[in-house]
Amino acid sequence: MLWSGSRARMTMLFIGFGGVVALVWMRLGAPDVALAEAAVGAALTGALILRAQGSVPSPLPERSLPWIIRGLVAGLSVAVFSALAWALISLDWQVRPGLEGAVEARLPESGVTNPVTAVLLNFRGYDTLLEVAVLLIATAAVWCLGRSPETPRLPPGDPLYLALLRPLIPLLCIVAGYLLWLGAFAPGGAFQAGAVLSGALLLLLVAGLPRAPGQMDTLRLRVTIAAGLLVFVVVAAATAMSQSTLLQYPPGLAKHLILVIEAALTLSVAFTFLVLFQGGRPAPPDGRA
Amino acid sequence: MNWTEILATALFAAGCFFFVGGAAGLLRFPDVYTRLHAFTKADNLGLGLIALGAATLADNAWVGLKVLLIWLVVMLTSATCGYLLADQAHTSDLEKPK
Repeated sequence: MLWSGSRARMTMLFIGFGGVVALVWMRLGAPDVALAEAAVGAALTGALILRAQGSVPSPLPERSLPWIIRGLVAGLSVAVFSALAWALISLDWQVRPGLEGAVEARLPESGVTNPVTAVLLNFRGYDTLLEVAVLLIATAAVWCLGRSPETPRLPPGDPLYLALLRPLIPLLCIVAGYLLWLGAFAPGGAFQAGAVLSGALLLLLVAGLPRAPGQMDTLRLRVTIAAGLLVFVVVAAATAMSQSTLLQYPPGLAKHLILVIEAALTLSVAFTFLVLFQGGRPAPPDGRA
Repeated sequence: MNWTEILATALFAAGCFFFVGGAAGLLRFPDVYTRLHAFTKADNLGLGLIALGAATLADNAWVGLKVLLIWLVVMLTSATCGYLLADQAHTSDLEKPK
């Protein structure tokens, strides 16, 4: 009991820590990273951990560790901290030319004005392509592990919760679309928008509604999850054939192609997190267990 | 420091006061229900004051409205979360009101 209490506390600390890290990124002038950290790192990963905590049996009560182990752990922490602090102090803080200059110079060709989006979806688009593939593989791996366990639900028809969802779900959809559109010229983009959208989906899922999204293993769900990678690969293949380089967008079309890819990615990311939260393959549509 | 900044700083300070009050309640009150009460009430007010302060510092009206919209959404969610937590604690016999 004590241990399960401390496990819940660890999860809460993790989520709180994610919020603090997001603030630190904001303070360091990296709003893109801050948004991603808050939406994906703190909120969605926190939800996944909370979900996993419910389905993994609580381990045996923890024995208090002998003082020598605790002393070793404390010593190791202090040593790592001192090494990091020493590295930071001895670092040469002279500003070196990074890649900002190169990105700035080619930004007009990229079709977007937000340098982060330009790097993610144009200059180094193949990195993002492979990341999306990793997400899809992770989903496939989770589905291979078995059927999803019963999702924890609120008692159905809770009037106050449904009254919250009624204005909140449309608002979240608008915010997701806004973040997606904003990604072209300000911090935002597909992953953040997808995270917000999947937040809306999770809220619907735990409401215990009979037709919540993503509960049935339908072709539509599978296509939605794969859509981001499919669109990305199609665009990559088309550009490879017409421009002879992978993801070298034809001039003038870059903005449209990036927006199409990001829109598909948003949907895929949202539903990927939804099925990851469920922790397994959803039931087939005819209700067979 | 002009008058807008003074006003914003005063609002921030008042907001922080309510946050400290909420945190003290969370730490000091005896059971789930009183803690939730202290926390949700004080946080809504504290966040509201801080949002008002941020809105007075905003460059234009749209940014200010966005900040106030955030406050509105947080109020909706935190009120509902407080209710849900209390409801779960009540129905699961985790803790009876003292």
